[in-house]
Amino acid sequence: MFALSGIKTELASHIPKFALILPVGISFYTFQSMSYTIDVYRGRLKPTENILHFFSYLSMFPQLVAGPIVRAKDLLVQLEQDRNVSSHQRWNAIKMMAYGMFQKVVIADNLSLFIDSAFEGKTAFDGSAFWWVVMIAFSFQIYCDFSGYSLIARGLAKYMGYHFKMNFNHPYLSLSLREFWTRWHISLSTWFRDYVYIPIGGSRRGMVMGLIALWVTMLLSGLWHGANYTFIVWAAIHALFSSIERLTKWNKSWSKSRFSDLLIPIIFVQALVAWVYFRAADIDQANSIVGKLFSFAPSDFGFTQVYLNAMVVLALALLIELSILVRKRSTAAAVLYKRSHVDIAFVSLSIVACIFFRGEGAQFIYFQF
Amino acid sequence: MAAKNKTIATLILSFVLTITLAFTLPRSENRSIMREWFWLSKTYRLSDAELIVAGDSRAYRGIDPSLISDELTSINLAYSAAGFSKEYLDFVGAHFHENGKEKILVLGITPYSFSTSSLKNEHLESFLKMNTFQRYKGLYINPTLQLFEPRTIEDLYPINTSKQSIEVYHENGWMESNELPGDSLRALKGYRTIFDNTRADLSAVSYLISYVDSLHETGALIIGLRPPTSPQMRALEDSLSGFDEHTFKVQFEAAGGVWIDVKDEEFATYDGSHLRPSDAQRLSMIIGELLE
Repeated sequence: MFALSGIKTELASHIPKFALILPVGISFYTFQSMSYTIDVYRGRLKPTENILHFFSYLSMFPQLVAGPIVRAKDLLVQLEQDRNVSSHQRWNAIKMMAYGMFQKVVIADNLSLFIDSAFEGKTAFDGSAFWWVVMIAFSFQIYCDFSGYSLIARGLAKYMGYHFKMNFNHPYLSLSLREFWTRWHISLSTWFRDYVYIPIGGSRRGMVMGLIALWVTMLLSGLWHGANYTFIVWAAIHALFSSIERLTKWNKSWSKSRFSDLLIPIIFVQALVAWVYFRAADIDQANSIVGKLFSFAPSDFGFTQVYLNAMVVLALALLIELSILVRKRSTAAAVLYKRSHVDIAFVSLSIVACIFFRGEGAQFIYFQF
Repeated sequence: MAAKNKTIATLILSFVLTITLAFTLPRSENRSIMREWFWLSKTYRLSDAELIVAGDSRAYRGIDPSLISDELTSINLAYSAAGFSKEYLDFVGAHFHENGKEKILVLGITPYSFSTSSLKNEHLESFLKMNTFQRYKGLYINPTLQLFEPRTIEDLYPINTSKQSIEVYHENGWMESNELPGDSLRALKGYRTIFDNTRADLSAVSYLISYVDSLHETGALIIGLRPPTSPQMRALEDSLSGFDEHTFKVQFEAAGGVWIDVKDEEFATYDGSHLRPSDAQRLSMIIGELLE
């Protein structure tokens, strides 16, 4: 603001270096303390009388760094109770941690080299098909990275006897963007819904006010990710596609037909286009990538050989999501998956894959937010 | 199945699979672990020998001591950018077998091995400085953990790529190395930069000659050669290094050493400096023939 006003402050050079270091998990810690304060203020939550419980709620280590955002009303009650962890809960905790680690170190980390090479211009490949594959890979990298972290956090908490709500529920299988946001980073989207969207009117005050509330909420969510225009555009694209969806209801009848699954790739492409802006270094790079995506120009597929490892891992990620879809649609598949030996085999294979097929260690993407 | 049994079954299955795969999956090429093992092994584990090869990278890549003689115990104690300093020669000399039948020292002489920077022997020093834990880790822990190093799809299904860089670490201290496709001029630029900033230290040359003289008096056989390199490299070194091979050869022979003249044209390098494996083996056999 000072810069815009033409006032030269040069404050940055006077801030001691140490003061610029942000506390770990500041953003998630802030969300949680805000939700406690607002809920108490609104009379929805009785203030806790145990200060240790309050600080345990704020600093619970599994989710402190990158979520999921836990609500005070959910966790304070659990802190007040004696916890007897059953062997069934422990098994589920181990399963969550194994699957979470698999998502992070096998899928997300093995894709990162390919994606970073593309965005940092370290490869000569540049065609339309190349960028489609890069963006599909990035969609799965960010999903598996964050979903993996959330699963590990939930598993750790569960092992100690706490229950954190689900944070990701296969968002790329959504039939609408509205559904996407009930499956992606659920704890953040419900936080924005409860503390921003509904307080400013939600959808109860008519279509126009509903759309305004939607845009405000989405743009705020974009801003939360960082002070970069790319995040604003990412949020704006989601707001735009969601507004169109809400105004035209183009997918409503389709989602009830027997061809409803065809909506999955359409919604995925909408999210994918938005991800371009989320990942790109600046708007120019993002615009250029979107241009290439939709140019459908002939491409050199040599990258599939150069980045064979990433291609196989991406195919595996797609296959896993497909198997989840099959499980949802087919009772026989769901029953098969419920069998003990299948469960044991999948968890064991996930553990072994984490050992032998882990990618280059990379920081969790959401640690930066 | 009860949840507790599921946990136990998963732990057992994961353990069995992990151990099985650790030994059956193709090994991942983690060169840094193997390279460290190679150098630590050379510095601390090689037993004393009757025949020792000394010098810099042209010697440890270019001479396989076991091909010089299959009767004598032999090791290659050459290091990267090694210089013939007192410390290095003492290190080499301490590795001669006390009760050996023979005492043979093969010196790979390069102009760079008399330069001020090489005389610091930083490569060898870096291993000599390591504490006990670092040595133990590099020699035993890291190579064992390599069984559990992550594999890529390329490790499981190697693809024929036109570009390959090969390094095989032999227990006798020879490093078999090659690059495909080779570039016979690649190393020239680096050496030109080196000799722009450094020259052969004539006092180091004199020290080596006196060392050869004193070793010869103990009954040892000292063989000297300039390991073959590309003709362009030889021309560059002769013109810029300040090292005069002819004068050195005369002094070396006068001190009791045996000099072998090797023709560069008969050998091929992969980078303009180092010999290809087959040429390294041929050179080693030529030295062996001289011994016979």
